[in-house]
Amino acid sequence: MSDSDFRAVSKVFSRIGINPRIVGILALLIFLWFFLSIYAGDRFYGLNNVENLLKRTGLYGILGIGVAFVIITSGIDLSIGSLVCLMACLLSIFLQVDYAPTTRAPVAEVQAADKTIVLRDSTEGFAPGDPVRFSGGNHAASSIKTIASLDQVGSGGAISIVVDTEFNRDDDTGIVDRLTKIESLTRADVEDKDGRAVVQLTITLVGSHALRPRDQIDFMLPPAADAARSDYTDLATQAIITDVDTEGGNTRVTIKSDIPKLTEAWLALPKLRRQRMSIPMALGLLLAIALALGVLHGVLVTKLSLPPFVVTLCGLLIYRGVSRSIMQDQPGGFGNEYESFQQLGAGKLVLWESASGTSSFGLPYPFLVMVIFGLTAAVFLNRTVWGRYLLAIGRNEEAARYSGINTSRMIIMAYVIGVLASTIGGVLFALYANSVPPSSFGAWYELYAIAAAVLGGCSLRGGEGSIFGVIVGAALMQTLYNLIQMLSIPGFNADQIEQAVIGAVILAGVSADEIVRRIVAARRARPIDRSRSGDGGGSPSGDASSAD
Amino acid sequence: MSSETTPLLEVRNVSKRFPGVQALSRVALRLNRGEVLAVIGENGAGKSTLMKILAGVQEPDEGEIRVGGKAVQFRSVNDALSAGVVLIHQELNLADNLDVAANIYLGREPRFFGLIRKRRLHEDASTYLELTGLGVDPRALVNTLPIGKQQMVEIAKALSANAQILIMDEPTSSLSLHESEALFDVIRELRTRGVGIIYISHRLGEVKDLADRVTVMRDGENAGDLRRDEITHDNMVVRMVGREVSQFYAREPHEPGDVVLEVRGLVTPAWPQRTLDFRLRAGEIVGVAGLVGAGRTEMLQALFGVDEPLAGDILVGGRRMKFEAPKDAIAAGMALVPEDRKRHGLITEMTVRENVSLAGLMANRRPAGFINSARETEATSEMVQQLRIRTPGHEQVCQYLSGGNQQKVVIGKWLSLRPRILLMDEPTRGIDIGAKEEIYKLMESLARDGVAILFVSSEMEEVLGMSDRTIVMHEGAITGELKREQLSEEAIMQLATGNVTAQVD
Ligand SMILES: Nc1ncnc2c1ncn2[C@@H]1O[C@H](COP(=O)(O)OP(=O)(O)OP(=O)(O)O)[C@@H](O)[C@H]1O
Ligand SMILES: [Mg+2]
Repeated sequence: MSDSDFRAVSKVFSRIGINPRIVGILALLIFLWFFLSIYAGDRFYGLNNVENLLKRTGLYGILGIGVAFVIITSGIDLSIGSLVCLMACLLSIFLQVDYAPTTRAPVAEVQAADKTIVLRDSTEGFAPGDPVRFSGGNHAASSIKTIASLDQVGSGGAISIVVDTEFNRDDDTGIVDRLTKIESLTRADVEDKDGRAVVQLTITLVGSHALRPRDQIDFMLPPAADAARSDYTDLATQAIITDVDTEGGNTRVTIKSDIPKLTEAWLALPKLRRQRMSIPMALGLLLAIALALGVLHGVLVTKLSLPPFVVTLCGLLIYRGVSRSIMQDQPGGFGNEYESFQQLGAGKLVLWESASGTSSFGLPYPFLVMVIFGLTAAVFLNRTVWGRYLLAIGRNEEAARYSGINTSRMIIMAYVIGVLASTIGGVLFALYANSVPPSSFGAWYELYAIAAAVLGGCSLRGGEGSIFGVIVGAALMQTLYNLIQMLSIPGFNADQIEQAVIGAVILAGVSADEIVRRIVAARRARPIDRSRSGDGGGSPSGDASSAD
Repeated sequence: MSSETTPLLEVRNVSKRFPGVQALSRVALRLNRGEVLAVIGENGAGKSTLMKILAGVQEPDEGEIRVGGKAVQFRSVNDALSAGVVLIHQELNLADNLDVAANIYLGREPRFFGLIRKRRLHEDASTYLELTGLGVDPRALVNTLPIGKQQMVEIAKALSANAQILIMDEPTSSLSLHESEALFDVIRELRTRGVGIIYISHRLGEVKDLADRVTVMRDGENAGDLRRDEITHDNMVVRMVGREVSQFYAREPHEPGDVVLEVRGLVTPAWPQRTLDFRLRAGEIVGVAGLVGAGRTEMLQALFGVDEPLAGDILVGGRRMKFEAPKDAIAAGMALVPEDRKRHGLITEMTVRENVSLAGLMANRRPAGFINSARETEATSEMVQQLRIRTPGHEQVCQYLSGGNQQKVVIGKWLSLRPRILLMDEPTRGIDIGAKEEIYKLMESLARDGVAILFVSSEMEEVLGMSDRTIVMHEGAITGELKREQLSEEAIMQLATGNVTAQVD
């Protein structure tokens, strides 16, 4: 290929928005897809496989785009994996859910002989005739009784509850929960959304309760009137409320599944679902933390002139340690509390569905998030003043400063974008996996992200990078992973050899890229003074700094 | 042509093409033993390209090179070195973070069982440094040296390689008179030893003094040779430019306006013992003369917010300013064309367009921070035309431009900002005589529009020709100020060497 051919070809690519530098890996990616479709046709094109490929490309692509900004300023971010973990852990903490009984009061004293429970403070909501449960005292036993009367204690406003039967012994701590009687209970045969026959429970609770769908009810069997041991309680089971409405003064709740032994004789303990904070609030908080950490990284790199490698290496260690300790090494997650929010990580935008409804194809949401993030990033990098500044700083920070660019602020911004991407990635990874073991979650991700960026044409010397390239890089790595799984070479376990293969291919890829560039450079007979300083950079087409 | 003396070096029919540019077409050149051959030509005429080919940095597309009558083909710098050809590049080419001695012997360190013999290294280096006649400490880190001294290190490096053919590409562009003289002594000494020297310069006065013969290039072709007795300013210019260019640019002085920049008791980090005081008026062109290392660059850098001054006040339009970074100075209407274009002036890997527009990008932005590409293109076209930047297009990466054209890009970047106060550090470094005239005209017309210009220059003719007033510096202090009618080479040299303290009014 002569110079003019090369220029013509690269011009065409530039015009359709593809940086000529990434043509090589794009070709490799397409070749791999071609190979896989022949070698493993149905399996490769299996809808799940393609969706999976897209999803993983999206998740890792986001991290790659983030680190690309840092690499463009000739920095590096090694803290990505730990940040992904930290953000995932924080999200699961922020969105932790508990269920609290509607009327609960701490106990100051139990006077066994007087059938009296003295409450620690004045608590509304208890009334004569209500069943109550005392639990959590010094003897860790619980008992269910009925309120006979209520008394005022002293002038502090606290009350004492007099119940119908005696306690076994005195106590000076514990809690009392108000229980509710069941007015009526009906079972109905219905079909669930997949067309299966199920039993649905409709229960009417005595009195009005401020319940909403997704609140929970514990059911327990009260002691029989003639039972020898009055403190016997049978904590039978729990259920999630799917529907609530009122009927006269009573509350009727619907429960999706049957509890076979449940009868009207049982008592109910309604519990309100409490989310630590709303989802927007949790995300806002994560964003604020990301901003702070990004600024911290950037300030350490610019104002203190610490090497980015060191700053983010320390980040890698610190965030991992912090994650493990705030979670006490217990895995975080969301259980099944956030099924619709989790769709963002695990769901897809359905594009096609078979007539029978058994199979479908769609774009996974993480992939869509990456597309949006990537488009924004590409426009930012190539069309805005700040993007140009970043590219200039990566090439020659001093000259950029002389040109009136606030270099520190721009570099800080790049680190903020990096942490932001890790945060978005962390949230999506967490929603997708729904299990966040803090000691291993996100481990190695920084290296995958850096590899995607480098494969995609970011020079570690800075000043060069293409967002589209990074996405292609991420896709290439995921395709390789896919390939290894499908090839199943005897004697090699795919999961075990995976990293070695990916490493080797990246090495081959960047070497090939460098060799091609050297050949092009030799044709152009570039002055040797640049190559002596180890610089192989510089785009042959004359648009070194324009990305996709 | 079988003469009794085979030339030391002979070049025939050498051509070289770059994308969009025919840099050399069928060029010839010959150099004899003990001869100083000057190669001159406009910016982008192909001088550096030819020299790079001779030194094995680049390969020619076609043509023949003979050294001592033998045809050679240099595939690398080492091939050329072993044939005795050494090139001192136009752009300095030192390892910043190493000391001077290590740079001189880079890759050829005296060794003892693989270990570098430091003592020997420093001793050997200092012999060559002494030859250059300028006090440079072999232990100094290169990045702490001013650019003139770095140039001397390059020369010492070439000397140490025992060159038979020594090629110097604009060696004096960053040296002042004094240092240039020292270099010429070295060159004359080498000439008597029979070394053939090729010398590229845009300073025609030097060429006249030094050269035995001149080869002129134009648009990548030979444009004539001049024998010793034919070397005159006019002869050279006509062959280079194809028209007459006056040797001195005659300015019409005009009345300066209000004081726009006032400096009171300024102390720069480079000379903490000295204070600087002066004023600059609108429409005034003030030259700053002095030897290399006199603190002129440091003064401009302190004024522009590159280095924070240790003390003193800078008043712009009567208001006291605190510049923490160049961006603050730019906001106050200032611009600085820096001395070192490769390090501070250009992003060499970016295009002409991206470089010209860089400093004005923010001011010209569209809403939401989008780049105003129409404005970008417009500014670039304007500067490419006005400064006659020779480039295949706006999208050419600057590292592929000739040195003089790179300098024009830097000037264009700052002119397109339309500053009120223009600081220039060696603005015409490496610029050919025709383009210099253009730049002088531009400075003149800017001054007429009320722009205040403060320019540092080591070129005596430039200082004499351009300044309404000249500030002379010596060892970090202003030793005198000369009005236009007091200006003379002697007066400047007296002050620059610290011999006299002239009357300042
Ligand atoms: N590596 C390169 N790639 C593309 N074009 C180049 C390259 N090197 C030089 N050129 C072009 O070749 C022409 C000759 O350049 P050269 O550097 O030889 O000029 P010069 O005579 O040394 O000019 P100056 O006086 O400004 O240093 C110029 O137009 C320049 O833009
Ligand atoms: Mg040149």
